[in-house]
Amino acid sequence: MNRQQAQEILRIYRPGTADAQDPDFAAALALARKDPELDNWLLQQSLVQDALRSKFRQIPIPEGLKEQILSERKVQTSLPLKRKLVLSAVCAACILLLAALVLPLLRSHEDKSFANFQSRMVKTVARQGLYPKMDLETNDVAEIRKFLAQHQGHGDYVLPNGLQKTTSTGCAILPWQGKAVSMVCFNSGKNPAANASDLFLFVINHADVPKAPQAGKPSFVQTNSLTTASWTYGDKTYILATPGDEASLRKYLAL
Amino acid sequence: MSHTDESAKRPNFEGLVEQYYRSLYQFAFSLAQSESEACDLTQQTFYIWATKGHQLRDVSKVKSWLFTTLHREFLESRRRQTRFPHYELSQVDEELPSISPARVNQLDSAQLLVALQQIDAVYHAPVALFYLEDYAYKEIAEILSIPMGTVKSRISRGIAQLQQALGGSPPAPAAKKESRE
Repeated sequence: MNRQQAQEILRIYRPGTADAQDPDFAAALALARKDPELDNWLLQQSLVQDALRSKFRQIPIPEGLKEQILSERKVQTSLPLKRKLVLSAVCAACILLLAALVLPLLRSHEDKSFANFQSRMVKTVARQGLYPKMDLETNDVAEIRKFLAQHQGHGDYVLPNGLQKTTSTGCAILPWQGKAVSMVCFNSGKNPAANASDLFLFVINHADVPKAPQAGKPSFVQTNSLTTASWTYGDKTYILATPGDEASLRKYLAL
Repeated sequence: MSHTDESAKRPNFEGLVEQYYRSLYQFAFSLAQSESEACDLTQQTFYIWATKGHQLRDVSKVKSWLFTTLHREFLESRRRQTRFPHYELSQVDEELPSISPARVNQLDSAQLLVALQQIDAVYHAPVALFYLEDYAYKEIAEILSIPMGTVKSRISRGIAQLQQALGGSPPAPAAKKESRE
């Protein structure tokens, strides 16, 4: 450490405080003890700092500030509570009124398109990853079909050949626009965890979704980081979603 | 420790006001440089204590809590969105102007405040805490929520600007010629 470095450190040194215990200050002070010029500079510096400190502490306090603080405490501790109650009541009334006015409008303008249906379903599983919430967890396809049939789902869904060979992991009934959607989950085998799911089949009555795909070849779309294939077979429309690409999806779709 | 024991140790409101309202006001004034705003900040700080002070578990930190709260309220009142740049002590290249103790002693508070208004706003809080309270740098860092190195550099720069504003002459050329090792 040279003199200039010591000066830089000692610029903010306050004699008589805990500063002296700081290792940086201690080293700079040790140098000052050996260097008379630096020591003299430090003395002058300390006097300036003391004078400034004293001036800061002489900043005048407005008369009556203390009394003001003490008197306002009573007002402040009671008024905000009343204000909060009134505000809460007003806010609650406004929200209810707004909800009553706007919700019917929103309902009548809800997007009932197939694209919205597809997006909503995919988001549902995209949020939950490999372990989506299911109503029934089982590898038994018969149990899945039975459960869906008993809960207003689609127990008679028809799987493409490729998907029939894939292990089911469970199912759930999801609501969409007041209609039931059956979700059947599969494990493609890429994930070693037996209960992990990475293929998701959504089934809905074709008539329940305006502009749903017509019977024929499946169409592929990338939605929310998942690849989807959608098609209609019989009276049902199907969406199959997976984190993989289109090619990985195609192998499940051969009828 | 039982709840009763803790409550017994908790300082009462009037006692806290008596003990700290002066230094809090002076700190507020150093930040806001307006008497009315400093009064508001001081009152608001005690109001927050009255409503939320019970959440402070370590009653030995009441003083730091009050200064921290006042500083936050000040920042909130200014709605500062930009982060202050952080400078480490090694980056400080401003030389301390030469000012005599006698010159400082001749000043009155009004002159000091005029000088304080001339330094960059970012230095107000650390410089004020440096002079008003004998806080350790670590405590100042906690109050201002900035690293300790930044505290030191801001104090160093703030003092340099303050002394310049108080009429200090530029540093001696000899000091500038010295090379750093």
